[in-house]
Amino acid sequence: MTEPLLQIKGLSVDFRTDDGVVHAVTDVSLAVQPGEIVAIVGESGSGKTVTAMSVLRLLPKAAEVSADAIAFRGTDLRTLSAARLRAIRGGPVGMIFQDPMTALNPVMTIGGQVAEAVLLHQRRPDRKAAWRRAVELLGLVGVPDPAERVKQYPHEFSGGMRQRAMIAMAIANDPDLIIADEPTTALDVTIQAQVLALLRKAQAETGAATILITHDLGVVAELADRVVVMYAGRVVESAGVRELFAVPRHPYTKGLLASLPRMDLDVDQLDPIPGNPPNMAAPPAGCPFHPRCPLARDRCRTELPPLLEIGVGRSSACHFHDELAVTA
Amino acid sequence: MTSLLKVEGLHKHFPIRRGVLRRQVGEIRAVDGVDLELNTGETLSLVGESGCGKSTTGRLLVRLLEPTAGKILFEGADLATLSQRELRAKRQSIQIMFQDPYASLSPRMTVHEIVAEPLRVQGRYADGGADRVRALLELVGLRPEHARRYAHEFSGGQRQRIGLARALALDPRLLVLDEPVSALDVSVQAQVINQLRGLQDRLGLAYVFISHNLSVVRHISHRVAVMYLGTIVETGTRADIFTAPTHPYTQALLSAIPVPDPVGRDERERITLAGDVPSPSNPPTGCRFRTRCWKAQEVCAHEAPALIDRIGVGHPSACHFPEVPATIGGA
Repeated sequence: MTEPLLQIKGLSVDFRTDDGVVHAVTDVSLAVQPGEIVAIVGESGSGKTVTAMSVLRLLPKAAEVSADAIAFRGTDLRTLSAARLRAIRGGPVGMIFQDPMTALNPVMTIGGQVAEAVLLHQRRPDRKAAWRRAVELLGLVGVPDPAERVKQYPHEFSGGMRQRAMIAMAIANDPDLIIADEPTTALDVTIQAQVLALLRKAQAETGAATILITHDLGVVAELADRVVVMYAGRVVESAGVRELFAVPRHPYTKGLLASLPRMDLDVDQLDPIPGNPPNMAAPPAGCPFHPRCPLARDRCRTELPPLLEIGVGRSSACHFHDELAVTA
Repeated sequence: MTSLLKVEGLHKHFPIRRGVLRRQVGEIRAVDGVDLELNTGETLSLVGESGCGKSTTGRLLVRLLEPTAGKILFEGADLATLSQRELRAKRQSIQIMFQDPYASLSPRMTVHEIVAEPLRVQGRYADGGADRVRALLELVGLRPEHARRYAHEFSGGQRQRIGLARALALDPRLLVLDEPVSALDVSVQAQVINQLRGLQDRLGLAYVFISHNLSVVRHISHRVAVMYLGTIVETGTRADIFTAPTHPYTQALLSAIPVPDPVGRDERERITLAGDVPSPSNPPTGCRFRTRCWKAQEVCAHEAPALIDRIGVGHPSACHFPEVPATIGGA
């Protein structure tokens, strides 16, 4: 196997709040190979966004980050100077955020923002060339009539069009890695389908690896090669997309799949996961999922299950993952 | 049999005003001629994308908004012509539950006060109100000690239960549920959906379920109305809409849903619509969907298609060229 494009080892992120220290992310390790789409799935508060944002040090100051390694193409991002990190952001690593209205500058034209993304990473800045590239990029992501629309402001764009502009900026400098944080969550389904098709196309054409952060298992199944499932700030399962959906090997993953109403299957009664996600200022002892888990027994209440490799390219953090293997 | 709720020719137009004199320069036809019918114990879902008018329709049903035109008959009585006193009595039977569990509960009231409020407003609290609140909390799966706490102490799913207990306080016969699970995580969403279904069976409630999530709608509905730009484009039973949709918009909407099954994702047939929903202040002439429709012809620009059953499939569709597709989505 080639050296991973991105390697995260032992990442922990704490936030100091009035209610005490919140362990948003605990001991997360993750590798992204060149060209693959890795989905990080989890519910609100599971730490998926914090994990991805810590890669480019985009977390608020209150965050206390520690990690054994965060390396992009072998470069240690933990100690990189601010200037060199800026060269990576928007350059070899493109970002797409959930809400394109707050991520875009409202008083700058769309073209100006896309051109800026290009300019910042040019050795010899050429405004005219950057503007031409902006028009070309917007055309590429399916903004109709790009030569005219570049002159418009974000509020003149619809949600779907704004998200296309964000994608144009993310792919502007031929990235090796795209980090997409809930890229379609704010969009209507028909627009979501357009943007998913575009992401697929952008990925195929640039060959960039992608980290896709989402809570939507449908989007994961449509797009991802590999899936990392997070719960309560930890990785609880990781597997190839087909394996994960066919035989989930962590009861949380299994519970998530069973609680989904489906377009393709008739289920009489949904099978929800009981209870609520834990309070991260006071997470349960032992396995963080045990209060909601149908397999839980005494050991789970005291002993934290480590994330162990249980097969080729798959791992699970459940003491009793073997019991899930047979039920396929 | 008279239906519990019958809506005829419902319109809601919002004026667009400009300038110092706030002169009206146009209008947004948020709801533009909607007919609905709902029986006791049934769930009718209104589906569509943002701006299609589904939430406005819901608000009109409980008269949080006054309709521009149209009739809303509840148990045969037209809500628009009732006197204040009569309306007040009828209103108890129609309640609404909102999408956002954070914005829809007062942060200054305890759970007990929140659930008791409708009883007090209707003058029904004095007579056994406290017991009633306890029973309601139990009904939605909250514990009695929760009554003394404030909304901020609860998770999103629990807050939706509080909103549900409040909506049920006056023994309604019809609940308008406006995106009741959209703000919830999937694991919790399933709990609330199961609870809504259980309550419907036990209490014989009718639901108008407003949602953009078609997977949830498919799970919970008896009948479905698909809306686009203020009008219903297709309506029928759950099976009609999900297995034999004839309107191109319904077909596109269904095929756009990501299926949580990676097997066969590359072979799946998808209809990807071009462009965005046009502005409701300036809708296209003729058929409103024609600007995004791959089947659009001359006639579609001139003549708005009526909502009728043209090809004898047993449910109406507002398309000049309806047809039942060979396969839909991942099914």
